[in-house]
Amino acid sequence: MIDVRTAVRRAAAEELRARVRAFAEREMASSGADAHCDAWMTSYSAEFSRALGARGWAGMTIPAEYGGPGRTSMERYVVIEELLAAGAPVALHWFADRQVGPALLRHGSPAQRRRYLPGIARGECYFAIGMSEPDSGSDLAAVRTRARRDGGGWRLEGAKTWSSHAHLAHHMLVLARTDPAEDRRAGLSQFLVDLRLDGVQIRPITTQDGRRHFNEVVFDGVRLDDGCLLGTRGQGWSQVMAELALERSGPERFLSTMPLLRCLLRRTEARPKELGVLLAELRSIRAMSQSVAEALGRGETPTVAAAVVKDLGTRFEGKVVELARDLLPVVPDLASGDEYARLLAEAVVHSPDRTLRGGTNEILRGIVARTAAGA
Amino acid sequence: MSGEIADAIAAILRNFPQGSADGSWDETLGRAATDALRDGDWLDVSLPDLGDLADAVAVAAAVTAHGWPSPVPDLLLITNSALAAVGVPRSHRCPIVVPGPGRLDGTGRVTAAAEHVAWAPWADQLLVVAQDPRGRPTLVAVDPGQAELRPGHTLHGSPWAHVRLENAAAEYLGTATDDLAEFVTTAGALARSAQSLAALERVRALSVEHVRTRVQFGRPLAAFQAVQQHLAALIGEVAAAEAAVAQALGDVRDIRELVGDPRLSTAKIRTSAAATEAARLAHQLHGAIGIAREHELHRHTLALLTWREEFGNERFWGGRLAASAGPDLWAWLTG
Repeated sequence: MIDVRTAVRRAAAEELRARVRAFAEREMASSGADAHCDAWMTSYSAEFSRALGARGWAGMTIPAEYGGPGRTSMERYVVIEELLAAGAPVALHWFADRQVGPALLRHGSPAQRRRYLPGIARGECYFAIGMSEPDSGSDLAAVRTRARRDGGGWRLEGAKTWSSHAHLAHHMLVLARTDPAEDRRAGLSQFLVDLRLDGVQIRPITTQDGRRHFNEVVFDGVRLDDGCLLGTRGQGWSQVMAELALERSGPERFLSTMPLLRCLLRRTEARPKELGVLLAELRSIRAMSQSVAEALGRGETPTVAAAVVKDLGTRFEGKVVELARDLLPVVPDLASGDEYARLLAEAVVHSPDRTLRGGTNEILRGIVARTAAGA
Repeated sequence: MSGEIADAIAAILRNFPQGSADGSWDETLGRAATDALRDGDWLDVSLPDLGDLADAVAVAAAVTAHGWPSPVPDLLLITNSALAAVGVPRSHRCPIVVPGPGRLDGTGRVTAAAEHVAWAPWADQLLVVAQDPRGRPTLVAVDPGQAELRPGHTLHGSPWAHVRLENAAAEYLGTATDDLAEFVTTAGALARSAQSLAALERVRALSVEHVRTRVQFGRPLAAFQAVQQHLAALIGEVAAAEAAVAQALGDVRDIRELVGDPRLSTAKIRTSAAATEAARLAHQLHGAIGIAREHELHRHTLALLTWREEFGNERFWGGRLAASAGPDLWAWLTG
């Protein structure tokens, strides 16, 4: 028997879901925003992010004392999966909402929380993520960006790459080496860096679709005050692991091509068995992703489960593209006025990056296997 | 709870050690083990007031994880459910459901035929799903002596039989309000999903252990990246199967809730698909050792590969799941 509290929580979640769905539909229609595949990477609107914040749908788990609505991680899950399924323009506040807010709640000082969280909850404070470097991609522990003690603060030297929308963001959460260490995972720390500071240079990386999502961000002796260190000096690795679990397990790891799949089923009545097998995979991945979200909500760091979600989810996204090509073949065309041809084009052109971003699937499988086998 | 159940089942099954001679299944020992589980009341876990569905699934999983053929999952999840659907208690030691479809005439005689009925050779009572003269779904009991049974074995050595009944004398048990055949298919698919998950978890454990301990080229297999990729893919498949079964069971108390439900289709499709991949990967990781008669691995993988086809394979349920999705996919998924 379902207990009353569960039933009440479920009814509230359904009500929230319906409100978000109606809002996204209305807002996107009135602003002429199209649904996009990979919208959390590619599609953005400051107005949309702000409108979400105004409704309490950005930085949702941030408590009231820091200007947030203090909702549960599962309520946040409902909201973001609705937005992703709608292909809504959420990229601007995405990273602040997904991982920086939670990182500040876990590790931030009261002053840091007061400084950043209200803006994140308003959907107005954008963060870029500074993990990968030109010489350190999948091998994250090889970061060479250094922060050295300098008077009462720090001096940051190095470069970060593949930073989504750093050119539009206000701040970056940077992983840097602060202390020499035998163990490569020790001696790392995280910094909250204002991207308008002197010595910060942001250079675009144009991707194969001709657009600018990514940037290289160079820190040339950037002076940081003491309040920029997030959490504990030397604990950067474990802090980042918690962040990566958030980054890898969310619904954006299996819903990137959902706008295409939705459009496909609107356009065709064909319901072949292969579609059913794919839908079973979707339902299973969603159940896994939700259970990881619950674990994260309890304060756990389910690194392995998150890696599994990302591996299965991103491969599922690719299968959607192939099924669409098979069921309703059209020439993919980014400039097409036909929504399906455009969504197919978007899905195709982003095919290579889904299994790369957030840690290549092969590296993630290595983590899964070594954890299981203790090797 | 499921941990305690697994421990209790394992303690009983330890008394009937299989495979001691040449790695083959001893049917007499299998019957004795089933009797011991019955005497321990483990076959009544799914009866109303005695337990719930989650417990019954846990028992089925624990017996399956042991790796040897057993009718216990079918008795718990299929037989007990069919009897419960018509409101009749179990009266025999090993009643096996014959999905039919059968026809019951006005004089109480039934005609039915079904192929590959799992555990039919062990039945002391056949429970036949049939339509009565008025077209209502009915469950009748038939003495196996009244039936023509052509016995055989599944790929993993579990007994089945083709069953034919020609105007056989039948005892009327009850009439169901719902489609009884569909209900049996659902119960069977749930049983095989839960069993497949149990086998998959065992396959995962055996594979992890093997790559940890087996040394080749001077290193444990787990140190090779190619091996790690396979192992992680295997772990991913098992995790997906776990999620699929968990979302199907959820807070379901009665298998009836799962009839025609996308959650059930999802569980059977995903566990069957995982079986294909996991069996392939596990054998690849084990090398030839896994197909040696004395090794445990193939007992699980052959069972997994067999169960894919029982009570509807991925394509059968895939067709149904796809057909249930309307033009608004997202509403369907979140509804």
